[in-house]
Amino acid sequence: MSESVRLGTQLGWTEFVRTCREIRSDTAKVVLLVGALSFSLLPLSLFSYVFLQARDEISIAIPLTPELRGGAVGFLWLFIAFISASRIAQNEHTPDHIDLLRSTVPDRAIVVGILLAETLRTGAYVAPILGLITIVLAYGFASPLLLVTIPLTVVLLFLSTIALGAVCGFTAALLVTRVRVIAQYKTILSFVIAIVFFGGIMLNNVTTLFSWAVFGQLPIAWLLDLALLGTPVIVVPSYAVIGTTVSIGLLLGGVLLTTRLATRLWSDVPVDHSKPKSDRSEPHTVASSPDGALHTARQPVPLWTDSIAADRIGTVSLLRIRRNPSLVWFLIFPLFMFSVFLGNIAVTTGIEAALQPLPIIIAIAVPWFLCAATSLNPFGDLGAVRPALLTSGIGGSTYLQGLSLPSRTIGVPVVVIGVVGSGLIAGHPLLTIAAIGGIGLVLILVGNAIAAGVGTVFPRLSATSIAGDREVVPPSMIATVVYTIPIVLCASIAAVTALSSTTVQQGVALLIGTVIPALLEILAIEAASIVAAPAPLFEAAGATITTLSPTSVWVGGYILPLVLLVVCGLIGRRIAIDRIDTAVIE
Amino acid sequence: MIAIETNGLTKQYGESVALSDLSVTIPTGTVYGFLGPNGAGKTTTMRILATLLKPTHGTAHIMGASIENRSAVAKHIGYLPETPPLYDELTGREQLEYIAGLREIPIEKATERIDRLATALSLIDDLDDRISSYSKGMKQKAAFIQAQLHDPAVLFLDEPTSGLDPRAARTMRTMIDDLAASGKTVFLSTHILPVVEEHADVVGVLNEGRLVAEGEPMALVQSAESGDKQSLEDVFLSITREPPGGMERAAPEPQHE
Repeated sequence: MSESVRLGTQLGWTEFVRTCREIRSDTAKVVLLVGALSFSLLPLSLFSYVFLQARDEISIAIPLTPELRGGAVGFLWLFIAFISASRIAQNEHTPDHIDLLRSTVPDRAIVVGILLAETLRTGAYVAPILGLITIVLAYGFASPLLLVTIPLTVVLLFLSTIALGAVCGFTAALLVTRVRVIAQYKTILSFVIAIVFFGGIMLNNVTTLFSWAVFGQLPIAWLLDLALLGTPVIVVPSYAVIGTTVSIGLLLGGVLLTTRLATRLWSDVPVDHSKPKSDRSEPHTVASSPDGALHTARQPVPLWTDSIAADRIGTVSLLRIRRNPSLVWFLIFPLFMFSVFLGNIAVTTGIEAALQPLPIIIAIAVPWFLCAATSLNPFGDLGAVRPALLTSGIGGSTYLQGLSLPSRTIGVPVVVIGVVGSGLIAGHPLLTIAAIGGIGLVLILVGNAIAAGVGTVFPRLSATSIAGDREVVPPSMIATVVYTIPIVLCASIAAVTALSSTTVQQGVALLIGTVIPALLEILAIEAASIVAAPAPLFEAAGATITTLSPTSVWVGGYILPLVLLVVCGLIGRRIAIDRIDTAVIE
Repeated sequence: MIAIETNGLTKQYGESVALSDLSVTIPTGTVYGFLGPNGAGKTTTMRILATLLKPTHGTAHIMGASIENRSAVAKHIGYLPETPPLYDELTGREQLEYIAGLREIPIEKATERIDRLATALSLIDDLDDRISSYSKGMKQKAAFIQAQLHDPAVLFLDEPTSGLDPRAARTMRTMIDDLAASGKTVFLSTHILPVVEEHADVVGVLNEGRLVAEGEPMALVQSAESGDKQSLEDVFLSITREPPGGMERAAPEPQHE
């Protein structure tokens, strides 16, 4: 066991270092991480300052209740276990070069390495926040003991929870390997599980079906008593001991069980997703239909084009996503956030209020998703096939046409039916519904060109993860952001105008006529009075905007953003075609 | 007729020279064996000739079309890169129909060619399986078929027999001979020297980006038979040899014929 721990520690540390290097090579990801961290640290720093100032005046000599234990640790335990189970089931269950590793070290060492790498990755994200909390509490309570107990608690919590997540994750991965149905529908199943999990939490927040005190009864939640030893908070020392013992037990049990599951997983041959040979009714020397196997496979989705090449590109794009939905997994999270947003509106203001923005969300989200799915990373999606496509002689124009076919074929009916249906249910006027539908159709028309233009300027050619499916090359983060901004911004302005042109008129008038002049006045006080010189012009412009006719507001708020989208589409198309036509393989 | 003609073809990456002043003329119907140690510039040359990479200097023409014009060159060439360019999510037949479609080959004609070539390479029974379930050799066969679906005049093959079992490798070599006999030109890069010795009409040896020897296999062997060198392999090892200790390469002696 000790040998496995020693070897596993080496493996885990190496995997962690590889992850760090992979993140460091992606500037956009680093910027996003630093931004997210700053976003968390700033309010926390403020809160820490207030706490330190007022610590003598507030009474903290309160006993720990099951609610506190459950809310602070129990829920966190559940959350981390779910996330780590998902990560391990999807990507992290088999390290690179597993055959080499298995012929070199025991399976248990590899499992320890996986768990340690996951713990270090999780720890790296929370380390700055945890460090700040630990220092503030230790200083605030004048208790150096906290410098030990808080990090120890977090390490025990992470290790034991990730060990539990590993058991669930490896079980899921094993099922995917052995059961054909699960293998075929694994992405849909995992999406359903995620919806149920997060939906359940959201539902519980609203309805309080279960009190967090339930989680407080779990011995693992008693680790909070360990963390707060030596503070004025009244803890139960025996709970701290039991919490520690249980977490160590979970860790050891998790490693043993995961090792058994891992050995089976790594020794298995995955089930073949394709149709078994015995099921085929036709001789192999004949294509499955006169129109060809590709045509048959893409049914029932029709693609209308005169170009054979564009038809094949569209068909293959569609088939690959259908057969490997993880290709569009990167787009699921934003859509999931949309769903949560709608869900929150529904639970706070009622279903009717949630239905109001639904036509807009359909008009924007559906084209955004479909166009990004096929066109946001054209070179990366091609992968090893890039030389074959480039030497086939087709131009960038044909390639882009092919990529656009699936989103247009699927997107147009979905947007029309979705916007009209949800608009009517929400009780919007017909003109508003038509205007919102028009936004969706324009987005479908130009979305692929914008996506391909951005995706060829900011391509990603290799997988983002150091583990998992190397065939899945999602777009770069910067491409996703640059693609999303004009689409969401322009479409949202147009949609709000369609919904209530007066709101847009008043909002813009307020921004230009009041907010900007006020900011200029403030700047003038701080800097030089000359800065305030344009303020009257803005005030006058704001006043003029309030007097504009409804037609002018529609032109400015609805037509102009759509024209801008079309211009973006034309520019994107030009860029994409040029980049594809002149692409080389270095 | 000239199938491939290069003149002073050079590729530099900053200070590093990947290919230096390559000038070759290859008539149609030739199997041109392209040899060289790892990192000699073989793949770079193939990519330039397949229009996938722009040269720093020099010109090249394939069947009279300049490599500056990708669409003009594309209809004349088939390219089998070292990594088989296939989608794992498709079946073999779907993949081949896809590439045939890119070449605007009607489905009836594509099906006939796919079935004929797949039968010749014993891949026909596996065509309806997902490529993700293919072995390395099966992927290589599919990629080889894919490269010649449109009946190109010139085929660029980078290690075509890699991963094939002996029977499939022999079939592929026979197909290469048949292609040359029917007037096609095959530009063949491989490390398996006996294959080149047996099938190539002309051999070019690249070392550190420079063409250090070119000629018929037998002529190369004879010209180098000053000592105990009796095979193309001996010639290859001689002209691409490293000095004792392997710290730096010996200056190669150009042996243009």
